[in-house]
Order: sequence, then C-alpha cells, then structure tokens
Amino acid sequence: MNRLLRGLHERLQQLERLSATLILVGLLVTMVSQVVARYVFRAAFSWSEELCRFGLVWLTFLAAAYIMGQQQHIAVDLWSQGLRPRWRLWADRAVQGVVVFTCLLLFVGSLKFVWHVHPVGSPSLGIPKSLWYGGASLGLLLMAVHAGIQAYLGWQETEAHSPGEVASGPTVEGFQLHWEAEARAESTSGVAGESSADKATGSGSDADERAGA
Amino acid sequence: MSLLWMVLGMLALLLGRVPVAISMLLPCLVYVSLSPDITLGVALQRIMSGIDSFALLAVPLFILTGYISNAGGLADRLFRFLLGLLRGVPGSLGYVNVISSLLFSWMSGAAVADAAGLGSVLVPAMKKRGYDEGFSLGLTGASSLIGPVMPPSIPAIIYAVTAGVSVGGLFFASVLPALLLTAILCVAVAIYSAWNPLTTAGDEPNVSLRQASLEAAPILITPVIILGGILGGVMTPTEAAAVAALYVIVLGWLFRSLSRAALVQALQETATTTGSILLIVAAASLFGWIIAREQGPQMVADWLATVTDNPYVFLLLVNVALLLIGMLLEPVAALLIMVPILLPVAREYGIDPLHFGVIMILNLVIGLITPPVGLVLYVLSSVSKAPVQRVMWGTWPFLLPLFTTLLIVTFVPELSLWLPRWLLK
Repeated sequence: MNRLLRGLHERLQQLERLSATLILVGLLVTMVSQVVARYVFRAAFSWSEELCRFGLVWLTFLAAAYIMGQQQHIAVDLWSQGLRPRWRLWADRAVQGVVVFTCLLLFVGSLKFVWHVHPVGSPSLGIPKSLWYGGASLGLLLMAVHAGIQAYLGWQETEAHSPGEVASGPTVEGFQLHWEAEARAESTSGVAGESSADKATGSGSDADERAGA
Repeated sequence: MSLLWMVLGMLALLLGRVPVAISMLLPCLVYVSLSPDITLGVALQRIMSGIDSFALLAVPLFILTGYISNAGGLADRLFRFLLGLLRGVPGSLGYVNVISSLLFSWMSGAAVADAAGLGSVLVPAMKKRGYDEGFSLGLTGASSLIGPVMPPSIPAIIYAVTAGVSVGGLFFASVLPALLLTAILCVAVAIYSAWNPLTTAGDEPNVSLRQASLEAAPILITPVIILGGILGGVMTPTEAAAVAALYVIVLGWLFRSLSRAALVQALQETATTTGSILLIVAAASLFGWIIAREQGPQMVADWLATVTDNPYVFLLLVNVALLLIGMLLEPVAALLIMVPILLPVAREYGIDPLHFGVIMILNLVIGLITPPVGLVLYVLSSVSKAPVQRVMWGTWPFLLPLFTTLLIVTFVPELSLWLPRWLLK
C-alpha cells in the first residue's frame, strides 16, 4: 500500500512538472509569435491573450500541486527547528491535515459552480468556462492528494520509529521556508535563483535528477 | 468583527507553518461558508479572477529571464566588463558589486537571483583582495535589493495588478528610486574605501576593457528591449518579458554558455516558482475581496483619522508597519495582504498609488535582509559558505543606507512620479 501511494505521489509529480513546463514553453512561444505576427506579418492574433490567460491558470495550479508534493510552498517557520523530532512530525501532520481540508472544501464546494458554467464559452476561442475553472479544481484536488499521501506515509513512518528518532521520507521536514530549499539547491546543483529544487522528500529521484543536471 | 477573526485565523495558521496561500484561503472559505449570500463557487470565481490576468503573465516570463541570465553566465560577463571599466579606482570591487547588481536587475526582478548569481562570484573575490567579509556580504545583500526595485520587478507587477495601476507606469516610477539606492550604496563603498585605503587599493584583477565590453554589449541591450519596448508603445510589459526571455536564451546559446540541461532546469524552476507565487496571488484575491466587502480599509482609515490627518505621519506609520511585516513575510505575500487594506486609505490621504507602490516595495524588500525570514541572508550564506550569523552581522550596517533611501523615497514623491509623468504624458 505504501509503495503504491509513494509511486502515485511521484508519478503525479512528474506529470505535473512536465505539464507545467510545457505550458510555460507554450506561453513563451505564443507571446513571441504575437509580437512577430504584429510587426513582421502585420496580422495581430485575436486569440493569443485568451489562450495565454488560460495557460497561466493551468500552469499556476499544476505547478502549485507539484510544489505541494515537494513541500516547498512558501511558509513561515519560526519554531519547528527547536521541536523534538517526534513532535515535529506531528506538527507536519497537522499542517498537511489543514491543506487537505482546505483544498477539498473548495474543490467539493465549487464543483456545482464549475458544472453550472460549462455551457459558457470564452469570447475568442470558445473554451468552456468549466475547463477554465477546471484547472483550479484539478489543482486543488491534486494538492489534497499530495498532502494526504504525505500525511499517511509520514504517520506510518512515525509509527515505525521509536520516539525521538528521526524518520526519513516525504514528510519529515514538513513545510519549510522556500529559502531553505533554495539554499540547498544552490549548494547541491550550483544553479542560482529561486529554485524549487532538492529537498529530502519522497521524490528522491527528482532531487537527484536536478542535482545531476 | 468577522474580519478580525479572519485576520487572526490567518495569523495563527501562518505561525503554525501552514503555507501562506492556504493560511489565507482557509479563513476566507470559513467566512464564505458562514455567509448566507455567498457560495464557494463565488469564492472560486474570485480566486480565478486573481490570476486570470494578461499582465500577470509577465511574472513567469521575467522570472525565466532572470534564471536564464544566471544559468547562461550573463552575470559573469557583466562583472568582467565592470572590472575592466573601474580598473584603478580605489574600492573598485565594491563599486563593481553595486553596479553589477544594477545591470543585472535589468534582466531579473528578484533579489534572490541577484544574490545567488553575483554573491557566488563577488564575495570570494572581495575577500581575496582584503575586503572585510562582513562588508562584502552586507554590500552584496544590500545591492541585491536593487533587483526587485528596478524594473522589471516581480513585486511591481504584483502591486500594479492588485492596485489596478499601470505596470509600465510603476516600472518607470521605480527607476529613480533604484538609481538613488545604487548611488547611496556607492557612497557607502566610498566611505569604506576612505577608511580602508590599503585593503582596497589596486584590488582589481587584470581584465581587458575592450574584450569585456564586446562580451557585455549584447547583454546591455536587454533593458533597451524591455523599457524601450514598453515606452515606445511597441510592446506591452508582458510581450516585452517574452521577447527579453527569448533574447537571453539566444544570447546564452550564442555565447555557448547555456546548455540544454541548464535551459530545461531553468524552465522547470520558473514553472514551479510561478506556481508558488501565483497560488498566493490567487488566494489573496479572495482575501482582498472579503476585506473590501467587510469595509476593512474604511475601518483602518477611520482609526488612522483619530491618530493623524497628516499624510507624512501616515506614511511614517506605514513604513514602520511594513518594515515589521517584511521581517516576517516574503514581499509578494505581504504586498497581496497589505495593498487592499492600505491603498484605499493612502488614496484618502491624497497619496499617488504609483508613489505608494514604490514605498511599499522598497519597505518590504528590506525585509529580505532582516531576520528571522530574510531570504537573501540564507541564499548568501549558502553561496558564500559563511554562517548565517555572519551574514546577518554584515548586513546590519547597510540598513542605514537602505533606510536613508526609504525616507527620501517616502518624503520626496517627485522622485517616483517625475519620470512616469514626463515619459507617459
């Protein structure tokens, strides 16, 4: 069961990162094409802005789901470093519980609305509004899935370890400040910037891959 | 009353290490669930309206420009060019540090990218030539703050979209304050050089100016593309961001310094950083809407009216509050929370939203080099291998030039407003 969940967690993250990156490339290409079409071919696109806004919504929520899986969302951590490991693990469970509850509340609560707006199409491309809002709904569901899996796996590992022992796995470090992940990314991969890289999570293959790159 | 509970709930969740976006979202969802006339569908609609914006598309594209510039070694070329240019000037490495940040800021809108990219090169170089380590770290940290003030600036885009002002207008409003910050940091270098003449004399490595200028010239065209494109009405800020990103990719490819793996990594990191920032923007959109619905700004304005009717005293109070908030919250998150509350009040005091935007951004980015949540401190510690404590001690003296800049920007509105009025009239 644990292996299955861990596999699902990692596979979903790979898909999310790949999709978000491809959407970003699509946005870049569309925007540059818009400028080229306007000044070189004297033909402005009527659909490009709408497509880019649509892409930005999906990019945001897919990437947000990916970083939820990586436990790298921006958070303020002023006290957890001083906690005993076992208490810290429980604090992580509480945070993940809040994430699951919040995401599922909005996901379930807004499903009727998403269904209701399905017949409405966007002005230029006629993209159903349900697809537009669907990006957010899917992202919320994926965030809940990642946080839920992390909480479950972390709980299993807490049970498997004696009190005070530090467990390894996807939830050990909990949500930390973005800079902690960045700092580690700097030291491991040597690439600058606000990286969303290496963190000791269950997706070790991802971290290794980036560090190697 | 419900607004107070909502804010307290958000603070409790933030202190409980819950991600910022979720900390904002949950109290809002509870508010919506308890309100008989709003549904969660409306909440989703408000959340979406926060990111369904063409102007916000500039955020990932400018982040990408910064990442590619770093990964493609463009910062190194700027550094070598400045070394050649300032050869023979006492304290030249100090000036190179500040001016590299200024030049790099034209390609990057985030202080962290600047600190990571330039800090790894400049801090060891300055230490090697006898500069005090604390001074080197502090100067690198303080000068990295030019990045999020000088356009293209990610916080400026976020502020402009939240406040409903022109992104281009805010970009131009930020130029002179960023140059003022650069000049004041250069004065700090001059004072240090005067006190430490032996350590800073003849400190420059031998770099050919001609060669370095040729290498750096194509990079220096980037701000012309961005600001020139916007000013000339050729491109929107979003289009300028896309063209700049493509341009630095082409430069990295032509210089043979950007590998395919580095490009893919930069794209992946841009996508994930975007998710991290824009999820907060989405949550803040709902938060801002509820604050407006509950007449939060009116309450703050009423309270402030009992304290002062002087706009300068108001600005002073805002500065103190934002500096404290900036110590705890990352600038984008803090902007998204505070703009809906403070901007309507600032308007009542007759303060121009562009001027107020520059004040807010400068205030909040100072928090990047102050503990306990100072992103730049930790990045500098990581790239320079110096303990965080030492980086913190190094940055303290630089709060003086930063506060000086902040006070001048706050009390001289023309510094922010003259350029956009002149260029965009």
